Amino acid sequence: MNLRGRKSLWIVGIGACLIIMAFAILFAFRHGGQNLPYHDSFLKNDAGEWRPFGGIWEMNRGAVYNHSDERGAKLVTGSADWKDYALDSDLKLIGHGGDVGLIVRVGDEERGVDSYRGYYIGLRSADSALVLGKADHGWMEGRPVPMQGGVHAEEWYHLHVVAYGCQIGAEATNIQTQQTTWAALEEQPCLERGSIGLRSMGTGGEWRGVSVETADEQAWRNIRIHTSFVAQPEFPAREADYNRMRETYFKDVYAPVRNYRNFPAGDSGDGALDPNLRNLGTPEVVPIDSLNTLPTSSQTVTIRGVVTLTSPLYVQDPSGSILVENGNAAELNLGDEIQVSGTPVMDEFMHKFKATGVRLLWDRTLVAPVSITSSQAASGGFEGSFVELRGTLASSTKHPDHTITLKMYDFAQSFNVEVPNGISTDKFANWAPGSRLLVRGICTLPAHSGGSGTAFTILAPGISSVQMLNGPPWWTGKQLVRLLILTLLLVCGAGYLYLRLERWKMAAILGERERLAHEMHDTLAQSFAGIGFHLQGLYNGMRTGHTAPPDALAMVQSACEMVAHGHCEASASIAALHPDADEGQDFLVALDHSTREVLHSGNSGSMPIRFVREGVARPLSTPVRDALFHIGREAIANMLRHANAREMELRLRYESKFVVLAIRDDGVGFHPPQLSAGMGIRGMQRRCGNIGARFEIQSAPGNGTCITVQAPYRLGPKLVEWLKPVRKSDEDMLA
Amino acid sequence: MLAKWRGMSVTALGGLLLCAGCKRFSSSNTICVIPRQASESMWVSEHVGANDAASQYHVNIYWNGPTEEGDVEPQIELADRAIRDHDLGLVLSPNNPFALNTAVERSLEAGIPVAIVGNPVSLANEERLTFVLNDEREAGTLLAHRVEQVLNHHGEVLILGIDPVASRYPDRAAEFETTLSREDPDIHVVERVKSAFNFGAAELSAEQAILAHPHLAAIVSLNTEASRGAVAAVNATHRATHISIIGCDYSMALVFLLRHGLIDSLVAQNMRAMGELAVESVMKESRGTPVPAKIYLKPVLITRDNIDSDPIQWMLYMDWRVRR
Repeated sequence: MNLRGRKSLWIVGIGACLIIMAFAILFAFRHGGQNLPYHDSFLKNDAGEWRPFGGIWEMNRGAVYNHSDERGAKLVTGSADWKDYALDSDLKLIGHGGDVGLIVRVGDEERGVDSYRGYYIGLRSADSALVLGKADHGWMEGRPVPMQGGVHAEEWYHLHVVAYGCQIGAEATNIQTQQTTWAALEEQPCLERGSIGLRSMGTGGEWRGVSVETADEQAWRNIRIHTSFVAQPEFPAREADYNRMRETYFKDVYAPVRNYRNFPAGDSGDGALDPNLRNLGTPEVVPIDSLNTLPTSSQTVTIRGVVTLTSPLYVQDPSGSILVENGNAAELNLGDEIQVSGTPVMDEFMHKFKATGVRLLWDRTLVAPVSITSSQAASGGFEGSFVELRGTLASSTKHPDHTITLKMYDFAQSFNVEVPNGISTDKFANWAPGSRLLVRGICTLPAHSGGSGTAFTILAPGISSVQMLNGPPWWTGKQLVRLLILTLLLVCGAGYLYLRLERWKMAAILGERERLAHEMHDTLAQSFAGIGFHLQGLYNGMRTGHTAPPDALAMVQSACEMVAHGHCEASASIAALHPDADEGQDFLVALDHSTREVLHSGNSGSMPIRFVREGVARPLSTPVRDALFHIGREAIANMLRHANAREMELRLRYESKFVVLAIRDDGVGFHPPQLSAGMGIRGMQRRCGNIGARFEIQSAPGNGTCITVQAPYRLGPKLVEWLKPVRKSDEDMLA
Repeated sequence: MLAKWRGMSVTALGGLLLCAGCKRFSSSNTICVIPRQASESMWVSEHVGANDAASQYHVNIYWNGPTEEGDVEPQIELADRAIRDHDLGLVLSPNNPFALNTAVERSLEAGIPVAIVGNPVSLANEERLTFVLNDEREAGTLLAHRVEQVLNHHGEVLILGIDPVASRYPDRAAEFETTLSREDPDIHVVERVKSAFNFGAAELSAEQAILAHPHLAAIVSLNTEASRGAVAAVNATHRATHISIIGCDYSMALVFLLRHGLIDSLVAQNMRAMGELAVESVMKESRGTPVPAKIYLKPVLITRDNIDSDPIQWMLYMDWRVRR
């Protein structure tokens, strides 16, 4: 292999490697790239790979919490390519009602109750059931299984889920009592692959020790052996069937309505409160804003409001908000309506409330933030309130415990935003300085935020409380430099492309000129030379008187024949050069005409020549068409002159990648080495070389001759030609 | 031949550019259906109806909604998504009669036909805007007649769950009171409790009213959370044998309670038919076929006597999967 060939090979190889690498990166990017086994990093306060869809998620004590009652809140991670695996996690319900669980083979997830594809396995408190079902932007439930010992809030359970083939098995164990329940579900066809997730429905939840590893059939059998049936994910179509199922399996436990009066939760401090405190008419319940006028630490009062933040605990009623200490917020969710008894205390210049008892009244209260300006926030009028405001990001810091501090500003104020730790921190990477952000959270003044020098601090409940409205403006200094570099690169690229095109064009012109020169040399120049030779001989003979009149006549006749032949050749070349030569008819017809002229001029009689075309005629590039025309013409002429053939065949075959011209006769043939050095054969070989065609000649004395030419349809610039630098000579030519 | 191909190419390219530039070009075969809440059985019935119609028209349904009834923000976000995706149509059950106006107008400006289901928005009739509404007057009349029947034309009634925003329109509570005062002056409405869509608040309000009115004989609850709150309050005050609860709308839990006698009856919107009609209206609008600006569907009274009848079970059907 020569140097040029090696270079081409290297370039092609590198190009192929680059393409493969690009595909690999794209594939890894699209499929998450996480491998099994998987173990969470909750103990390190790190859950950056988890993506929240609804809910208020945070991390603490090696566990991840959802502190909201939102229905269908999800936290998803893993790879879309995970197929057969076992998912394990400890979990518990926070608050009461609803259910918590795990989802497997998750895809197409978005915010909403059942807005994902996948299988959900959960512990439901309403009927104390282990639930299995399929979600596909709707919910289809398998037959629930009553949980041994029931499902209770604030108790830890271990859930072991196996997804193998189209079978889903679940094993739920109460960690305290070690009571275990099994359930199984099978669906054909099924969702075969997908990531994993944590999900809560209508209550808060807590998960820890999440791990995934590949599972085999035995893992599924270990669960199946304990189940009495394999449920199909059929949501009962009729209401009558659905409620009959509940009456059959959950008659004694299903409670569609629970009364909060008899369901104390979250009591803390010095003990539970008097149930009568729930009565709105009791004088102890006071509006929160009235705490500002009460003497501090003097009397026990009761306030009632909605939880707007759990860590620290903030409670809001229509009159205002307040920070509550000793509130056992770990068991409360955002949106819980609670009643708190205690005493107001003064902390520097702001009020706090020291709780002695907290009682949950009800849950799932919608809390809408108040949209305010930064100046309003700084005024102190919204201290402790759940607010929403916009600002521009100045800088952001991720702390070792994975909490995030955003420094923001608008036209009037600078302020901080504190985002809880750990969840989906990859979102943080998109918040570039200069971005416009919408922030929701509790507004606190410096006394509560550690005197950071800013006007106020927003405590965001979760990372989803920060939304990016717009990225940084494009006209920043950095962006302008990037734009300038990009423009320069584009200009250089365009210039280079222009030079390449000009070079290609010039090369094509030169090639055509060279071809025409060869053409003229082979036809007209040689004819003129022959004629000149004859005329010179005649002139010399007549001048010296040595040429007899019959000889002179013969020489003149020969010269005339050569003129006629030259004329013929020139006509054929001009015909082949005409732009319409290949339009509407292929050059086989042109060859036919040319052959008839040769036969007519040579008085070769009526030799049968068959012209055969195979395949659908396709346009040929001009060099290819000309070369084939002249090779065919030359071959026919040679056969007519020398072969003494009885019949000839010219076959033109259009293949997928090549056009094949085969000229065959049944004449006397020859020994190939005999004529390989002849001008005709050499000319044919030269023409083939010019168009990258394969030339083959088969002949033997007495067995006729067959000439085959296999040529590509088109000739174009090669990649290597494009990549080659512009030569000085080319530049000179262009100049 | 070449010229012909060139001509065709230029025409096709021009057409594509025109389509891309045209705001009314719909690139999707999907109708976005946004219920007031995505998972409760009443809205699942709407999903069933929407999918029934979609299968007839060979279009897809994108189904998603707020996790809580009353939450407006997710509805606005989902409507914006429908506009962004150039959906074929938008079927919306608004959680608020005013807050969704801008989203609806944006959809109409984008050339997306909109069908409002259940309760109206405060928009005048516009091109490509259809209302498929529950007949609230009929609902009020059904409630009144049931109360008359249960109380035997005499007694005290509490109305629970009045929505102060929605009540600016002629609603079921107003019609209920009008019918009662016209037909049964001996039945008195002792209190009208306004509350947001919240179980706990409804329970607390109902408890207070029950304690304040010892002769209370019936509670008319105007939404599902109010009905649940009423049941909890009646149980908590041990007045289940004295107070009948007649509710509006339904959920599986409420129907379960009805079957067990804790709720007397439910006046239910025919959400399945509404979902079907809404998708049909959108499809007709997108094809230029005229549709009525407002379509009213009559609600149905569900009692223990008729709960297992075919028409009621058809209405409560919950299998939303598409049948093609």
